[in-house]
Amino acid sequence: MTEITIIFSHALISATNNQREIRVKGENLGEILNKLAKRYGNEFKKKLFDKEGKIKRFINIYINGKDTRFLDGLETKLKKGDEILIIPAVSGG
Amino acid sequence: MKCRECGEQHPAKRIYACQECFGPLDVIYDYNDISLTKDVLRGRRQNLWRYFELLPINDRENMIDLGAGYTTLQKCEELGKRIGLKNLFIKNDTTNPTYSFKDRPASVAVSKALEFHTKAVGCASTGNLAAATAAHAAKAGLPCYVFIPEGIEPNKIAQTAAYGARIIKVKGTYDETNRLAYQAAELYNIDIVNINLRPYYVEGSKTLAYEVCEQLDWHTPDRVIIPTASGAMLCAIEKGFREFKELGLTDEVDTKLVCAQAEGCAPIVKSFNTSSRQVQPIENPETVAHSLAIGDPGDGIYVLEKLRRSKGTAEAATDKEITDAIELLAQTEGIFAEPAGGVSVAVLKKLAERGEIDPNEKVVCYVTGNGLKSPEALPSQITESIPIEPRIQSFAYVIGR
Ligand SMILES: Cc1ncc(COP(=O)(O)O)c(C=O)c1O
Ligand SMILES: [Zn+2]
Repeated sequence: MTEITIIFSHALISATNNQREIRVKGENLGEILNKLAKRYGNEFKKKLFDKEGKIKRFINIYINGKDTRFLDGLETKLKKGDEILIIPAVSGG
Repeated sequence: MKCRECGEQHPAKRIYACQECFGPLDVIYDYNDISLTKDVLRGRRQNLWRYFELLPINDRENMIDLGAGYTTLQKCEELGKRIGLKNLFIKNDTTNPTYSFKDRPASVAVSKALEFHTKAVGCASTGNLAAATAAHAAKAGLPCYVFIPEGIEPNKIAQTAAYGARIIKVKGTYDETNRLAYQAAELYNIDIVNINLRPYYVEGSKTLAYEVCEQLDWHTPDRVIIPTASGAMLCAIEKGFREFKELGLTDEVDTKLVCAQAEGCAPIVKSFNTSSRQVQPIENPETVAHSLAIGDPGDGIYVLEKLRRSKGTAEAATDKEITDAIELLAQTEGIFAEPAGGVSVAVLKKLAERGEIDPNEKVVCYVTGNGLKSPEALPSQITESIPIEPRIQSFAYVIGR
């Protein structure tokens, strides 16, 4: 199985036992997120997923800096050493 | 502060995401405690700090005031005649201290940074916020880190550099730049005004609505045209009108909001036209309006809700329409705008000519940045001039008489 690094936004670490960065094994993004949901439980799920179990619309997930909406979303395949970043969508200017 | 998604309230600390649901936070006020009257306001200084009670700063000592705001609301007879509108006004925000509306949110955010005893500030910018943050940081005596994507107009960079900011130019789009700034904010303890100070930052742009109300003799306009990138300003203007009504400073708010985007980067217009509730981001924006080139608008979904609720609309303008509009505005009203201003005027013109705006409607079109920031946007036929001999015959020759 492929080992992936996940980096959480500061605003999320209250739901990840204060972990900012962890390594998890998985083949695609969906699988990784399910593992995280199991590991961290309700608090984490409540922050990341909406009522229908989809990623909330104001949360962005990047793989090696690329927005997963430009990849295959939850189906995106992962390879060794990939880095996943989970942050809220922030407005710009 | 209150969460936009779940409604949970949080103290006004240095946070920007809801601790319950991760949603964005907005500053809220107890309007019963605010006693702003028309008479009080009339006697105040002519800049955005006249609305101190409606801005999220506790101590006046922390105000960083370069004089942003209270810009002219220009009645546009000539432009109106050209496009068939009788009650047209331009909110001319090209005259702010650093020549764009961004001085409004930047001055509030940098003031808030002082209140939080921040060590360094910064921003992720499509060009205009860079200079605005840098100037206010200079006045506040704070170091400033400005993240910009490649391809920003040279004048905007020169201006920012002059204020002493550290410019970090990123190979990539604005959205990639923004993400880098996000990570830098967390790891290096920099307060990025439009990221981790976002709830405070956006409050500054509400003053664009307050001023228009005051300048229209305490009435709200029938329609506003707003150049839109992330959507933060549009949301703030909508909040501003609502707050003035809440305080009894204006009558019923019945203002239609129009979101104006550049064709090469119009994710909100696309969603609006397909009646979607999501905004599909654009990976590689391409437009002469660099300042509006945000492919993944953070406030896009909220803009869509506000457009629908106000019975407003969304429309895009091509590069040619944008530069034509810059010329039209300059030649009818004497206002020289950067492409973002061209976008709002181009969209205004389109809607008016299509008959979507009633000729009698009171319309306010926001022109948010100065043309001197991006002179290269204009076609060379109008900017080039060939020198002549200092002889009257040469003059006669060039004017063809
Ligand atoms: C001149 C100008 N007008 C309008 C905007 C759009 O603002 P917003 O991102 O809040 O939609 C910008 C954003 O950078 C700008 O620089
Ligand atoms: Zn919330």
